[in-house]
Amino acid sequence: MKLSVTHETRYDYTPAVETAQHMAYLQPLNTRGQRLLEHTLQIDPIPAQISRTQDVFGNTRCYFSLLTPHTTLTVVAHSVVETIDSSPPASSISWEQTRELFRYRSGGRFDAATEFVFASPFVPRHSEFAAYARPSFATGTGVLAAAQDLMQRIHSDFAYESQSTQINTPAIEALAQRKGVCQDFAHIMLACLRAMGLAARYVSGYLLTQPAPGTVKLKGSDASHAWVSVYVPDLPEGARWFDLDPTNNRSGWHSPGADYVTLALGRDFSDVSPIRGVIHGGANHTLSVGVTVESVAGDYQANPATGQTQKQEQTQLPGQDVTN
Amino acid sequence: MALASVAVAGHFDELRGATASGTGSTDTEAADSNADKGQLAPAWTRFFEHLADNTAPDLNQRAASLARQVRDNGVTDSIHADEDGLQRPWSLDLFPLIIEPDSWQQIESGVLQRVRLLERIMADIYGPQQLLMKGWLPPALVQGHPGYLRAMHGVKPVGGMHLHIAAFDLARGPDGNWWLVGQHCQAPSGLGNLLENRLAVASQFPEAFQALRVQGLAGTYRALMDNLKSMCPSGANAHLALLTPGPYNETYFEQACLARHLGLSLVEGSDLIVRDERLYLKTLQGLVPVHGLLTRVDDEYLDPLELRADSTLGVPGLLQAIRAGHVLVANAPGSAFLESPALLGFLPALSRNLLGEELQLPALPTWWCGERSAMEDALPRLRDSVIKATYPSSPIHNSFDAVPGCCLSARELDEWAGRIARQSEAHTIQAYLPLSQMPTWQTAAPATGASTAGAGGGSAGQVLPRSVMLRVFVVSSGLQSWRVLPGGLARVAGSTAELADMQRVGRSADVWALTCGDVDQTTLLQPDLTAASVAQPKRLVTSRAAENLFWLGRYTERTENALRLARLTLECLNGEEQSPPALLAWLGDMALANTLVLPGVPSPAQARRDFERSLIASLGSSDGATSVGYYLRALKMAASSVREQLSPAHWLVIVRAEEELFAGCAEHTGSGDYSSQAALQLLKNTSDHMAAITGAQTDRMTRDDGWRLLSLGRHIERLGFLAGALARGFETGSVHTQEGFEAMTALFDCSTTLHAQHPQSRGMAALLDLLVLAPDNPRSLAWVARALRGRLAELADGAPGQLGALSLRVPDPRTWDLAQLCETRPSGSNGYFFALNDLLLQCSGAAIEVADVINSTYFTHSGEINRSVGP
Repeated sequence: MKLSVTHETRYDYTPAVETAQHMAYLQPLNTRGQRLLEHTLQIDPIPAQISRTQDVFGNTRCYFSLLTPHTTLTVVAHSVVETIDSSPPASSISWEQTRELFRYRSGGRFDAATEFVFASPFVPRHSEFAAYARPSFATGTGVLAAAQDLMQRIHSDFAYESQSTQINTPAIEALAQRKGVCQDFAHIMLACLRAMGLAARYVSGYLLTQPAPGTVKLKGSDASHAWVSVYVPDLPEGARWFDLDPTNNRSGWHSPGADYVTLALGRDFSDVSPIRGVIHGGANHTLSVGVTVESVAGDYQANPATGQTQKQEQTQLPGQDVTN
Repeated sequence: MALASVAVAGHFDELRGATASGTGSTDTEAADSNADKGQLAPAWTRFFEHLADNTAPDLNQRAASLARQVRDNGVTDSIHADEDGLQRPWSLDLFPLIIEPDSWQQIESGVLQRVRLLERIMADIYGPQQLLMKGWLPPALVQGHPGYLRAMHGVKPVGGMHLHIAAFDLARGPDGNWWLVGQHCQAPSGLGNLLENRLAVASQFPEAFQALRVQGLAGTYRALMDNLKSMCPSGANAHLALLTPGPYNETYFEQACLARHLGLSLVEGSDLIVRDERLYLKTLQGLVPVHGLLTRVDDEYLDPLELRADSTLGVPGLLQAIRAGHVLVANAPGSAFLESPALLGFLPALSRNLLGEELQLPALPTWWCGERSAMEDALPRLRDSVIKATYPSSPIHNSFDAVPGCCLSARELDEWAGRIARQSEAHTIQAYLPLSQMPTWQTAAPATGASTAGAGGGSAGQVLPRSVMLRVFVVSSGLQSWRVLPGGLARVAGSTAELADMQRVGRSADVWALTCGDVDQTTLLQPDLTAASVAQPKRLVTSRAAENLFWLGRYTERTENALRLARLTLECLNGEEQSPPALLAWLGDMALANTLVLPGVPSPAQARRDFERSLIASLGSSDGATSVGYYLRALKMAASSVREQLSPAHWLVIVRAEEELFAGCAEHTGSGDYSSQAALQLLKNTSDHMAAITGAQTDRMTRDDGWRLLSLGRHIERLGFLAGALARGFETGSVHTQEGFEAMTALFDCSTTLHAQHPQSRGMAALLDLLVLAPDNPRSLAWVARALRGRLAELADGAPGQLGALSLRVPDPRTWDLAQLCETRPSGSNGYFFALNDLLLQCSGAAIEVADVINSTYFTHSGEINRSVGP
């Protein structure tokens, strides 16, 4: 499926911001579940400096700085990806066997997924998470089955309520109040999986909404979305991450479904915040974010010339060398 | 010494160079170690031989002199600042910890080997991560440690190395050997205190210091500076700065002191800015490049753009500049994971694998419980161990203060064992070591001393053994090479108790590393001052320091003005003669205008006593009225932010002035005493302090642009205050009464001059000649206006902006004319001095305008804070 994503972020400031520096994680990854066909990042006003680098997880981060006073900053990321449907994988490994894999033994085998077992800034250790997770982790349960059961429980136990939490509401608080938004559910699920000794990572992205007649409009549409990915060691090498979206109770190999677009991967939100910045001046700011995800006709052709203005920044397409 | 008691049994006795087998007082059993026979170790024998007089009164005198020196230097306690932010004086023992040459050599080569190993670990972890892949280091201690910074992964540090400063905590065990207890790489503190300790203690024992061949420190500090500069892209001319969390940080004093000794710019995050991936310092003269940063800010606060978004201590974009290779940061961010006690257990094998060497200096046996076999080994030993957090002070882990197992009951031990089993990774077990005990000099407390005398201390006192930990510092001196600072910071337990107590009520001692070789004679003074290096550009004044100096000047003058006015008012109200109504009106107006009393307080003409009481009550109140105490406190705040630029004596008198005023006010108001005599006495005392403060400002500060701003601040306030006072004097008619006339001349500090120049005269011409026109009275308006214009012109030379033009906005005294100023239009009984009134309005207006322009021209960028904006 070809999906086009437009992610517009707009800051309005009073008084004007004098200088600003930002870091954006807005370029979708190439994964086994999707191929990035086109990506542009329009920044207005034009930055004094812009540089792109890969972070430690393979995401492309874009640093830019603005040295002239401005009252508005708009950042428009436009991407086109081709996603694929994957058949459900066969896995039989138990969650205990999976956990053992990450246990340290001097001189023992190292699995790169271990990095995602540990507590992280938005996913601290807490016994409450283990307590909540435990019913899904009966002795000998397969890691995949246990994770899916946990996802279903979070989906049914928690109420989706926009505005019920802030971006920095601790996961432990969202767990206690049994409500939140996609990001809270992702953090809670990460904390539960890690409490059981499993490796799980945070995925930021988008979801196509198709309000077909008679169906409920899926949550998370037309906004940034987030879900989790759990490490299943008996899947083929290089394809061991299985995605689970507790907000919508959807899961799948490489991504929860072909209607999902994967933006970036990290330990939690703090690693892949779509855009953050530090401004000098501009005592008050308002932020508006608009995301549009659309299905593109089958014979889509990337046309870099269309609709570009001078302000637009054409970024490297996948496959080309990333140079700065 | 006969006075010295023996160390607690089982502890190594530094004074006797042997382990004590019994306490002198409780255990009378015969033993044949030195410790119990009272023979001193050779170095200590020589130490005491070189004291011409080592009697108790003499040592008490030295201790008192040392304490005075520490206090006068303004050394405050890095570690033990009071909760209310007041800093206690640094507590320094009279005796140094003496380390013999062979012992020191062991320490030296041991820690040098260890820092080499740590650097290899850093290079691997921020590079290929072979140590993780081979299973030599648990990922939980790297990727699971909050101190591992992913943003630094793959970054080659400028200069090719990560670690430039490392601190190692050592303890001497009962076997007489030194053991490593812990290591610090992230902004280790103590290098400044160490220098101050050395200067203070060595000067108490100059003969012993010489005779014992104590190795000098300066050469090693110099080596570090030279190395950092040589590693910066701009080489020997590199501009290095010390990044401090600021004056509210508990170790600010020692940072300021280190910056001063090493010749570094002391900067806060808000002083710096990143442009085009390069780092700059915001100064009065514009942006100045910074090539190297010694940071005392914890890593996670260094860059709000990528690390903690709520940090106001860092510099947004700093990591980007580091990654671009444009700035050297010592140490490279991301070393905090090396500080986990859990790492210690893995180092011996890593040393074999990476260096092909056995570690020379052993660490205390340490078990990280995240490794099952280690946990099984360690759990049965809990009682003889210290339980430590693997991730100390991590907000995302179960963290706790170290707990010695010997202090726990059987039930508590079981509870700990349970916690350790449940969260094994978060716990590390370290063997308990009885610390060696060094001699400390204990002056008998006056309350218990049998024969206490007055000044100079009593004749009683004794040498008491106290547990000690030694912190030594390693600094880089070349590519992959380091030097150990020959000395260190001894941390001494406050009582016979140990570790836990040392963190809270500890003291420090100087450390004398003895050498058999040559004593390094390097000093921290510049070695070869060539004409070129002397003629270097003038010292940089950061925008923040400039702003604080400006406010220091303004608050100094406001304090001074409030003080004069308060004294004058109290004197007039309590004079022998009844003050005329016009004078009372003037005093009332002035008190209100200068906020010495709260609005709504009855005027002195209506209710003299109520007014007076309110005036006195406000003196020491720092809320509501802004009187003397308020301004003095504001003065101190401004001064504390630029302390490194003030002489210690200057700072000290500020501290005393504030302390004594508030203590005095609290005493009076506490006992309900609002007598004007007591208040006047107190104000007299403050006035004496102010004379010392203003004297230090005029006479003991370098006249750079920072000082010019201070001076501007003072003259702006003075101009506004005097013009206002004079205008009100005419408005109320007070100057036309004899008492009011005299009060006015007193406020302008020229009663004496007036009587000398114009005996008998109370005419307005004489008054205006003196208060407005006199060219040599520093409180005449002409003098103030001229000084203000001069300072503005001087400042305009060195700084961008329109200050030159601004000086023209201040009325030019050369155009003032006495005859014109004395012209009146008929109004009331005394006439309306219209020309004078115009001039006074101009002066008041100029004061406000100049202050505003200086504020907006020079300080806007430092006053504005950075804000993080997220999604």
